[in-house]
Amino acid sequence: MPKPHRLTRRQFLGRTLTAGAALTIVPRRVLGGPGYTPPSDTLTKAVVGVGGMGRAHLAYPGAALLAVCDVDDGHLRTALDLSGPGVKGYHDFREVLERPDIDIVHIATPPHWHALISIAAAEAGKDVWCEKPMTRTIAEGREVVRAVGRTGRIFRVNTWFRFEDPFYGFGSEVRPINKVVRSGLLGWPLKATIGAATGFDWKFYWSGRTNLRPEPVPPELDYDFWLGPAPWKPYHPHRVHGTFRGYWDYDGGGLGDMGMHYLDPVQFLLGKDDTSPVEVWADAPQQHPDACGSWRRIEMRYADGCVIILDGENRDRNAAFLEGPQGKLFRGFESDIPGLRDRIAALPDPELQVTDFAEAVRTRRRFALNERNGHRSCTLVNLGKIAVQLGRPLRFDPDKQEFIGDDEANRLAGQPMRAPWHL
Amino acid sequence: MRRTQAQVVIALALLVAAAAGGHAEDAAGLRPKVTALLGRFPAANGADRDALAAEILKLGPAAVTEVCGRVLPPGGGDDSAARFALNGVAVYAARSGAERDRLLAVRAILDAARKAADKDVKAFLISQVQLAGGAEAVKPLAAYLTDERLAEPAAQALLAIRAPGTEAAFLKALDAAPSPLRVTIVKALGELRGREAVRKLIPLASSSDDRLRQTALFALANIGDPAAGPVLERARLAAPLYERSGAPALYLLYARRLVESGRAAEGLAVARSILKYYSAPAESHVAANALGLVVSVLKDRALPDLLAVLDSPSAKLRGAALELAGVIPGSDASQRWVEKAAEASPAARAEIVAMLGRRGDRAALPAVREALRSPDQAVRLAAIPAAVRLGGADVLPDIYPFFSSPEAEEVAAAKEALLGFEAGRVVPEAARLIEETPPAGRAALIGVLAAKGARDRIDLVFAQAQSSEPSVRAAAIAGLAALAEEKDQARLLELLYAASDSEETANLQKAIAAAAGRNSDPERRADGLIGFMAVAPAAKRAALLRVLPRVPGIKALQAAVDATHDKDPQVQSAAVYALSQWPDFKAAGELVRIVSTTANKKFLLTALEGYVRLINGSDVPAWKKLDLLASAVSLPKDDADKKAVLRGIAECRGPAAFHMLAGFLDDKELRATAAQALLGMAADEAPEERWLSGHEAISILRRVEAQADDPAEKEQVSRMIADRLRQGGYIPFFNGRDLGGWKGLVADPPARAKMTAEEMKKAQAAADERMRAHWRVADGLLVFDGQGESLCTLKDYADFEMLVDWKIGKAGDSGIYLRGSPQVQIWDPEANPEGSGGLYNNQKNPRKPLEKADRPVGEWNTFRIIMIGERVTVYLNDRMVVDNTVLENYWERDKPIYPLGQIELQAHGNPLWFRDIYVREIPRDAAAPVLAESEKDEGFIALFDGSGLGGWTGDTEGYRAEDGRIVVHPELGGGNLYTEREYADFVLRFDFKLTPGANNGIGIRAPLEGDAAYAGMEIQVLEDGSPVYWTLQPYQYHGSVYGVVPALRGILRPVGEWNTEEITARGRRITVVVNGTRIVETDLDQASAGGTIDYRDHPGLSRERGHIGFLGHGSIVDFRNLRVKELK
Repeated sequence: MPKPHRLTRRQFLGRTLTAGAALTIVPRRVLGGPGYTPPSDTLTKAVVGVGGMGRAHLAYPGAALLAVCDVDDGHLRTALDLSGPGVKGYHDFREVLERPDIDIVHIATPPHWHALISIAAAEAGKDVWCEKPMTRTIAEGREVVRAVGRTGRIFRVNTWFRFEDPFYGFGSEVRPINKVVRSGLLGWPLKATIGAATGFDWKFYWSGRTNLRPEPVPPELDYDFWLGPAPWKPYHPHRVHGTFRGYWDYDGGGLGDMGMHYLDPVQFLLGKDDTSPVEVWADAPQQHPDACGSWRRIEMRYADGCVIILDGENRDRNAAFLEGPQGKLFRGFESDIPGLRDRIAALPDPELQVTDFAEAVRTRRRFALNERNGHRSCTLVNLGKIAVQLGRPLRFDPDKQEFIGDDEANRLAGQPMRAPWHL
Repeated sequence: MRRTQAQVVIALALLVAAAAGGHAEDAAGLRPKVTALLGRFPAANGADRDALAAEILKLGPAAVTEVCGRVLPPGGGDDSAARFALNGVAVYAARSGAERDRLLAVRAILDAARKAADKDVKAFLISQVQLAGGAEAVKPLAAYLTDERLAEPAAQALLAIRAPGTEAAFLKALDAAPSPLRVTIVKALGELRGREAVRKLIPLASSSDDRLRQTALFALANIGDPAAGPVLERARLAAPLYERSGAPALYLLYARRLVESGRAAEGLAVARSILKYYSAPAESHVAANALGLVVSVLKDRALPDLLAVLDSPSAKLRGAALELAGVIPGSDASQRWVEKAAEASPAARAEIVAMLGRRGDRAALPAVREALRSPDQAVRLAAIPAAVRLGGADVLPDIYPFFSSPEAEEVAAAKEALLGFEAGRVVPEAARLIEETPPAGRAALIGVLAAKGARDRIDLVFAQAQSSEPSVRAAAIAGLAALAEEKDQARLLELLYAASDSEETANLQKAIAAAAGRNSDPERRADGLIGFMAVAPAAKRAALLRVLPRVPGIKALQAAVDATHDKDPQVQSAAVYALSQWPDFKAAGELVRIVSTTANKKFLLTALEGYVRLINGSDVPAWKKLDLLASAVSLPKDDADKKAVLRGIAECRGPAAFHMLAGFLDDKELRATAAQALLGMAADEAPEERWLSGHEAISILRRVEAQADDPAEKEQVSRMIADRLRQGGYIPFFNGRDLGGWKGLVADPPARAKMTAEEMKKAQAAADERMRAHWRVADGLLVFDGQGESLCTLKDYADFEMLVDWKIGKAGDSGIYLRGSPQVQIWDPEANPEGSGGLYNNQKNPRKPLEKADRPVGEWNTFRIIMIGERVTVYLNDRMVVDNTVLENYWERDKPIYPLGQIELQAHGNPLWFRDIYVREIPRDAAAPVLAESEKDEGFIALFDGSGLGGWTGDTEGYRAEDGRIVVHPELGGGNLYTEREYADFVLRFDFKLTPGANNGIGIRAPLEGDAAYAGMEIQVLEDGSPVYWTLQPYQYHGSVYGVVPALRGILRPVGEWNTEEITARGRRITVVVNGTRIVETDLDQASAGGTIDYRDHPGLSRERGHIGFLGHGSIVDFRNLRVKELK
């Protein structure tokens, strides 16, 4: 299973190489016997965007790698070195989508490309495994939902805490928390606080730099293609690989990077997979028009009174992760409700979801975190970004997915793309 | 008065800026006001930003124009305040109901965009119009549609605004625009979806320009006018291979738009033709897409279309049809699907059965139940979950037989089906079946009992735990972990003693711990185990000890400690291991005891690793962890064991851990481990931690690089250093390949200033020729052959920090010219015992280096040179040799050093070698910020009015008010300066800027007499990145409560840049926040309990009030924007 972050390069290479070796398709005549997977049943995949996270995708299990694609020749060469024989390299993702023998397209480009490639992949009949954040704008997310829906593709976003792994520093998986919420022991509505006190420490590294002195584009990088739908701006290495998250044109700082990891499980716990908040408010220093900066606090309120607080400065030192009118749930599953663990142990487990992507692809069943709920949780990220940028409280219509009475916020929710790219 | 060339350049730049700013007389009066306002950007929050934007707008359009004029081309200097301000104005003006503000702002920005000279600046201004613009912006923006660089931003702005007249503007531009820009315009017309454009777009859809043709096809499809139908169909058929997949998608988009605009029949016809045309498996995704449209048009009436698709050989297309089946509900439809399943291929039948399950229509149950007995396995597997979903508990009798199936998949499916039911429904039958089921199914049934918490069946599970089938045993032991309680421990122990397989043993230990954990009293959980241990023989005691860390508590710990003294070596070993695995810090003392006393090597390493793990996992502050780890290093005598501690240090990521690890680079045995840990830290994926590009970290990485034996590793470290420097804003200056970025030397600055542009050009060409003759690049080094002249940077520099490695030969002589002026001296240290690095040409100020720090001739030396204003600091090989000293003007002795100039590598008639040259430019100060309105509202009061030292007492000579700053002047005294007032509880906020190696301090609750660090409290102010301070204690670093509470390091901005600080003193709590990061948070009583960490008396800690002051230490430091809020 993919684990996030903080691997050293050495560990990373070691892991990638072993996983890569396991991926080799052994022909039937060699393996034989029962239990083998006939090659025709082997799912196949391509990875688009093979810098940073893309390299991890090479080794994700479940499908055999056939193609890698990147607009940086250096990245492409490295990925080809890592992925062994039989894998072909591409510069243009559209050529990858034309290959009929590829089932799944992994998208690990910067976020400003996620929507276009997801839609094109769905239109081309591919299933999609897309990095977080799902899309850079709310409008892009809506189009991905439509395209995946009308083409009947299977889609997943690459975060998984709603169905497995202890939930960052919280010290528990989501499943038992879900049972607590459904038991009604906490009451309703709930307030979820995300900050150090509740086990979730925000990443603040991702800030952009201002006053960049333009530098020549390195020969291995097709900068125009890398920008694609994003506005054209002079090249500087800090705008691209590894540090692109610091710029609004491509992502949204720490919120873009970690927001979906933290927010998706909360949305799931609150049962808000098919709606969005009606109010959002951010306390942040003024944002540079180009470079993302930090923020102190973001609050989002749903129509039924449920509230999500992103405590960026970890001010709420005694906050509960979940707080309802009748009880609280703290980090490490502490609670003011006596015997909580035993009480929920008696409750039935929630209905099983499809949490194996290959299985979802084979059985054509919706993956646990798919384009619809993924778009809703990415909307939380995008609402937060816009609130931070505009620095004023915003009202949102979760059905129309538009801001109410704020043209400018709506302009940020659906920014035009640079020609010839279009949704 | 003669001017230098540099001054002329600045003057010209100002003129140009003034001209771009609009009416000179308006701007002149506004300029200081705008400057003051810009100094307050970025605002602390949205409200402040709006207030500032309102102030700008109140000054009128000329003020907005003035701000626009201060936006510089990228790389032209620090214009971020202007960009923040302009964006703030755009956001503020765009709020609803502020039409006047909006018009004022947008018109001024559009006007500035028109007048701006640089296209990147224009593009930025246009992007601000995109936020706030309305109908008034259409015409001015449309004017850019024919400009190559600006058409795109203008088109994006127009599309965002979508005011009336936009389509006409694009259509007009389409005729006038040069061919490449037509793509942009055509795409925009497509997104606008106006009908006017169709006539003009149709011919473009057969253009020979690929991009234009593709974009025109998109535009036509998106508009969805029937006139474009034939063109789109032709394009699909005739499309070149590369466009094959795109063309049908566009044709389908067209069909969808037709349907949306009420032409359902026409849209349906297109969709059906696509469905038919693309039915081959390789292209069936296109057909699936079309099928979706058919269903969305026909709704219920699309069922025959869907059923027909199930005969397709393409699984993808079938999958799409079954997904869409959900759109048509009802039992009639279900019945049709059941009929279809009967006649379909086995694969399609399995898919239909699975769909019927998802569909949840109970009418399909008989058919699905029938499918459980299908001869085809795929159908059976699909039927199991489907039947359960439809029939619930009623179908369970049909499911149980699958536990006896030889197919593992069927067993697994049956198990999953059972797990969906409540315990009472499935436990009795599952238990009954266990005996008569083959092993695979039996293991699955045990799993069901465990998952359903069937405690009353535990005897059955115990019996299965002794099965001869390994898979059954494993399932039973896992089941026991879920079911067992304390009273079952004796039976579990019997199993544990009998177990021989190591995995089984481990699982049994887990089960025993889980059983103990079900005792509600945490302190009694271990009682049972301890009781067993007292009577068990050695081998069993050892097995029990391994369980103890899973049931922690005082009694368990004591039992483990006692067992370390056991007579039996096997038990001792298990006890040491148990302690090493202890989950809380309580075992630390025992582990240290074992490490210091044991003679057994294995025990030592086990205990040590356990101790390190406990330290790293504890919740003490990072400096305390490092303190503990530092003492842990000296515990073992053997280097092999020390490595375990080193790895523990690396886990305390941060500058302090980095520093500590570097201490082991000189240890022959530990060097490799230390180097590996250091590289791990620097190579970690954390993108930018500023301290990793700082002086100390880079210097340490350089040492690692020098020590690396393997050339590949050397290369890797060298790349890592380059990456980290780049991240810190250091621009590599020498590319290792050629002389790019350099030029030859033309005369001296005064002579150059007198030359005409023409003369200059000629002289430069000749100088470049000479440069190429004598300077060359070999093996990645910059080499000078001993003849010719100095090598100069292409660019001029104002304030900067420079890194450069140099090497000379015997009697060699060279130097680094700063701003075109001599020089930081380089020469043979044997011939010149004072050493290199001095400011050789100084007459009034010191010219000799503070010490000799040279390496012998022929070895590489490293300079780190920092020049800010007139002053220069030089580090040679990490030793400070010039301390913030004024560099005099050699060329014109009566003048101060030039404000700007090139950097030169001096030729002095002998061969030279240079490498690793980097320059970080340091931004010049913007105007000093003043107390913000929001802070006033919070109750903050300015401590310093920016112009004089009213309200201050003490050494008022050694501190001066300059340009809104308080500047320490050590040469005039630079002692202590205190507020006249006393403060008890307060929040103090200020900005400060350090010079290299600077030392000062903020006294709080201090008396006017005595050493404030002890008589009051001193919050340290120190450039702790300077090598001068690398050996200090943590409680002396910047921000620490001096001598009492250590601060987190690595937060300071690089020398020459402003930092912000907030000190909060509230009762006994002191908090220090620097640059937004909390670096100290302490309770004074706790921190000084049992004596302070510097072992000194701090009577001042008990003071409740006192003066706030600056505590001078002989260095130049700037403070500004001092404000305080008293806490009541």
